[in-house]
Amino acid sequence: MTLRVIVSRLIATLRTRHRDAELSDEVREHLEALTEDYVRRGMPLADARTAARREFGGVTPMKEAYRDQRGLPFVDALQQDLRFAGRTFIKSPRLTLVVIVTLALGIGANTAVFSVLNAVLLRPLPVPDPEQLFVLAPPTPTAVPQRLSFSMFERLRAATPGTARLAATSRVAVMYVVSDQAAPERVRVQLVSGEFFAMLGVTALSGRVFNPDDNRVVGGHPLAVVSDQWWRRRFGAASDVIGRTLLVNGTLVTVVGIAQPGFEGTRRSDGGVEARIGRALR
Amino acid sequence: MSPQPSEVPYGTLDLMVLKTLDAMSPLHGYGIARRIEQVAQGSLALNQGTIYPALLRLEQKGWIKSEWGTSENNRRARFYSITRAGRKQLQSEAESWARTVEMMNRLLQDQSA
Repeated sequence: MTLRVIVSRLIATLRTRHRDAELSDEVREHLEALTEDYVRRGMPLADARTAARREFGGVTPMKEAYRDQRGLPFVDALQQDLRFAGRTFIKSPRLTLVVIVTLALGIGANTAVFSVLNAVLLRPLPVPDPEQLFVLAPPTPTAVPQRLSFSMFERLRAATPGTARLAATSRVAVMYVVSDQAAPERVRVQLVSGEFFAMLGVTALSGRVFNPDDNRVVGGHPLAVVSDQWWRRRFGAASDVIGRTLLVNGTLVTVVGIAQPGFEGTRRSDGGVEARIGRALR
Repeated sequence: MSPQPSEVPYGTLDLMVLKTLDAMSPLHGYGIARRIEQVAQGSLALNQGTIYPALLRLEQKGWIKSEWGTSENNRRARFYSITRAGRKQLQSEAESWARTVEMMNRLLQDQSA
C-alpha cells in the first residue's frame, strides 16, 4: 500500500458519512439510468427495475467491498469496538465502577511503589560519577552491624591504591537538633569523615565542605554541613547561617557550609555533621 | 454459435476502466459500464456495480480524478477522468498485457509441445 493510498484512506475514514451518502447517490443514479434504458426499449417499469438490479449486481456486497477499499478497516473495527464497550459500560454501571476503582487502585499502587523504588534504588546519587562509587562491606554479611574503629579506617585509607579515595560514613540516624532560631527538631544526620565530600565530588553552595584536615583529632572538629533543602526549611535560607552553632544530640557543632542543591548525603538526610570523625548534617 | 459471456478475468477490470477513460473522458460510472459492454460486444458478463470499487482504487492511486457534475439527461452525477499519471500507467500496463498475450499465444500454438 503506497503512502498516497494510505493518506487517501485515512481521510476517507474521517469523512465516512459524507462518502457513504455520495456512493448511495451514485448507485441510485446508475440504477435509474439503467432502468430508463430498459423502459426505452419497451419494457414495463417494474420489469425494467428488476432487470437493472440484475445487471448492476448485488448492491450491498459492492458497498462493503467499496468501504473496505476506502477506509482503514481496522480503524472502523476499532470504532465499533469502542462504541460497543461504551454501551456495555452504560448498561452495567456497577461493574463499570468496580472496574474503574480496581484499575485506579492498581495503577496508583504501582505508581507509589515505583516512586519509592526510583528514589531509593534506581535514581543515581546526584554526584559527578555515581557509577564509580563502591561500598566496602565484609565478605559475608553479619547478623549484627559491624562497627569500624577510626584507626581501622586510617589503615584502610593508607592502603587505598592509586587515585581511589576512601571516606567513612555512618548510617543516616535521627538526631535532636536544637538551635536558638527554631524549635527542637528531629533531623536525619549522617556522620562522615573529612574525605567524604571530596570523594563524592560534591561542593558547597556557600561556605565550605569538609576536608581531610577536619579529622586530625578524634572529637576535635565539631562541624556541620547542612543540605540546601534543610537550610531553606529550617533557616528560611538565611544568609548568615554559616558560623551558627547547633546542639546536635547534646554536642555543640558549628555550621561551616551548605552543600550544593540536590545533595542530601549518600542516603536521604538533612545534612552532614562531623562529630568524632567529622560530622555531616544533612 | 455465440459463446457464453465470460466473467471478468481477475485484475483486468481496472485496466478496462482506465482504457475507457483514456478513450473518452469525463464519464460517469454508468457511462463507463455501458462503454465497456459495448466494446465487449456481449462477450463479457459485467456486474456493473463492481466498477465502483475499481474507480475508487484507481482514484486512490492518483490515476483518475473525479468531480460532481450534471449528466446529459440533467441528473447529478460523478464524472471521472484520467490523469497524466493514469495515462503513463495505462501505457505500461497495456504493454505488459500485450507481452503476456503474445507469450500465451506462442505457448498455446506451439505444435511441438
